[in-house]
Amino acid sequence: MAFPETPPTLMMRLKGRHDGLEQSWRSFFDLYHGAIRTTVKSIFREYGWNEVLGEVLDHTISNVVVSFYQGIEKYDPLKGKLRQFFRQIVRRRVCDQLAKSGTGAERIFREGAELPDDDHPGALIEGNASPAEQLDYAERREYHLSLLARMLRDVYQTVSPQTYAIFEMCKLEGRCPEEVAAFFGVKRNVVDNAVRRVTLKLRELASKPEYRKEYFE
Amino acid sequence: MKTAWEKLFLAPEEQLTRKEHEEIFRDLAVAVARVEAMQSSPEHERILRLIEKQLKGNAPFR
Repeated sequence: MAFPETPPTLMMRLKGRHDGLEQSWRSFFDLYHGAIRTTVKSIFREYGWNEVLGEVLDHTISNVVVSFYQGIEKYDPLKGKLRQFFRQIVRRRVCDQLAKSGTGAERIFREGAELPDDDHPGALIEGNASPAEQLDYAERREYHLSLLARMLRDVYQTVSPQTYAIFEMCKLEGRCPEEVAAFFGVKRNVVDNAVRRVTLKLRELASKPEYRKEYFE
Repeated sequence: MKTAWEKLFLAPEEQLTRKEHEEIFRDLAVAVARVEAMQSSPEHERILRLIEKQLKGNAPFR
């Protein structure tokens, strides 16, 4: 008897260059845009560039994602964290950008310190943290949030659309189970089972080393 | 004492309390909201276009 195949995770699809690669890369960027952006800002700051024009930031981010695409075979989730892998790529691409700017540096640089926005995760840090510490905190938090969203995206691949939608409405949007049951025209126990199934899938994924290592530093 | 996330990742055999489940769901909701906020930003689509333009030339990208 053939066992059904477990759908590959997003990272497996990217590394294996599965069909629908363009869609997988779009999903990846949807999940990691915030994290990569914060890393790029952080590395620019390390080189003394406290604020970078949006156009330059966008080009650097796109170059980082393309470099990741070209070098993804080298990324082993069991050996290192995605954040560290990205920091290496970002450093190279930022250096490229700085070298390219040459004497025209003033075109892409303005004076002034750009601290995290008020609604930015970095703003949550308490005490008298330096801007560098704030960015480091913001960066770690962004990667955590991306990882959690990535886990949900991977869970989505393993359950029916209705099961996921029930979970999403109950647990992520905070709607009451009775309302969700009425919305889908199902009994209350169907809602409870859907939530339980997604929770079990989350635990299943969390027990995989690639997620565990990524979450804990 | 382990946090809800430590239990989830490091101790799959341990039961989570209702409160711990709620803590996990709250963090997941924050993560989803963050991703959605980035996705709806004007620069997101702009960068995606830049990436796609660069990757179109790569053979396995389709």
